[in-house]
Amino acid sequence: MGSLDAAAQVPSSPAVLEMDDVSFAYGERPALDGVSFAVRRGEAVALVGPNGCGKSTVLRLCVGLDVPDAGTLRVAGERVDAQSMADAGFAKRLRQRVGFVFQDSDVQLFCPTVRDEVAFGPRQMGLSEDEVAQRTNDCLALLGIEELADRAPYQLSGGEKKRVSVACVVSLAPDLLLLDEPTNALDEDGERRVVAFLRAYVAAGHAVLMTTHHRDLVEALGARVVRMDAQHHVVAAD
Amino acid sequence: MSQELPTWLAESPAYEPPRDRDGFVRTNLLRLAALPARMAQAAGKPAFLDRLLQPVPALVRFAGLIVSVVCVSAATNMAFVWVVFAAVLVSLALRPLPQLRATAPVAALAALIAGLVVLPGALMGMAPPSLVVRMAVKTFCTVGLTLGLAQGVPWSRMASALTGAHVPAAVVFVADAAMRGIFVLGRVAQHLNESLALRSVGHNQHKSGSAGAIMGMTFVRASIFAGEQAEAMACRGYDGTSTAAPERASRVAGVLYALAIICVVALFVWFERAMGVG
Repeated sequence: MGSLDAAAQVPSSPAVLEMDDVSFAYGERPALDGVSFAVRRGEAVALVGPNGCGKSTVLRLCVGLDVPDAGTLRVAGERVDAQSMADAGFAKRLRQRVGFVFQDSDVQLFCPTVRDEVAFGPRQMGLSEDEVAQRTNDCLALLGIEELADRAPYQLSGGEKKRVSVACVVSLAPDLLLLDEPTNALDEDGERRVVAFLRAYVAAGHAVLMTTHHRDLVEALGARVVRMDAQHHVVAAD
Repeated sequence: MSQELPTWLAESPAYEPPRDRDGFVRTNLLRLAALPARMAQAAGKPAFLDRLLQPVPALVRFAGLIVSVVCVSAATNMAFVWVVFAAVLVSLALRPLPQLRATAPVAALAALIAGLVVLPGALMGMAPPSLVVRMAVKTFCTVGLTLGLAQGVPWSRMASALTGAHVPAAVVFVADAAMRGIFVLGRVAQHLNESLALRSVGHNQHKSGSAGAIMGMTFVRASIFAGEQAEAMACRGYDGTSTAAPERASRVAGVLYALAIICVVALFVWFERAMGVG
């Protein structure tokens, strides 16, 4: 199976995410086979491995877009499976707690302006308009996109869209941030901004789980590496 | 570059979502948008029936579909329709589970909608009650047959068959591009709906606005996709000729299949003539 109890390596803080012997298939095509690892508060974890090994599938499971065929997945101690995801309240709590930034920003953004995009989540949470405005402005500033606030998202460059995608997820104040190839399409300045934000986010006691092929990003965040192979197993963790 | 997080983000206070009636977005829209992806996924492994019919030229199978659909639609005697219905059920039962899941619910839903459309007329006495069943069964048959062909014959084979039948290259190319566009945009719509579901963590006061935004963004993506594809084709020297190679298929299998279709037509005529309206 190639499973590995990575959680044992960072014993000091509680696990925000635990995968134990999780398997999943798209129809008859296997995507994960007996995957086990954990992400603890205050750490960044990088999932690395060849294309098609199941890295993005891990992220989809973590946020309940798909549910494991076998094995156990827990987020903040609560089990995520078909039964729990059928409960609308649970699904919403999970998705506030776990933010997911898609690899392709074009499929993440659907509001008329960047400001509406970032304010979408906080508005849903029932915050007052003052609080929504505060959160929106904070997120725009954190990602350095204040000047884009009134632009239409689909008119932005790839790197700008990526930063907007991160901002609109961060405005939900999640405990765990899932990022699928977060620095794709980012220029040097954009990457510096996103890395600075992620470092501060992790330092505040939150957790980051990302898929990436960029060694520089892993080093810049001091991320623990969980390596997957083409057979959809976790084979090693640094 | 070091940053300090605002208090609301650093602390992440506990959150209890307000109640909201957004089950429609959470289930139906997501399922609908995921349909093209599910169809593509299910098309991976050919079913027993499709392996059996593999040597039949795609164009003959397409012609067979058209003839069968016309016969079912024109049938006034329900005995013929029930025979076709039974055949469709058998062909569905022979499919692997992923294909069955991708086709049977669609055919059943189409049948349900067709029945519901006729139902008010039947209730008000403007049409016989049997018409509700007749419409539903006919719709199930035609949709089941069409989806069966879509599952069994990959579009690439159909494009090759059209090229072999001397259909104008521009028509084949437009149809080919449209098919690709449907799948690509289906994926975009699915991911946009997922994104909406992920960020719908509370009470959405503008549900129709959000659904409209998803549709709007899908159209924007469609426009961008079409433009980019046209530019890419121009860069690769597309000059209006089709790139699909003519299909190579068994002539014998084609003739046998055509004979089977003729038998279906004969059965249709026999039921109509010998048994009349029923």
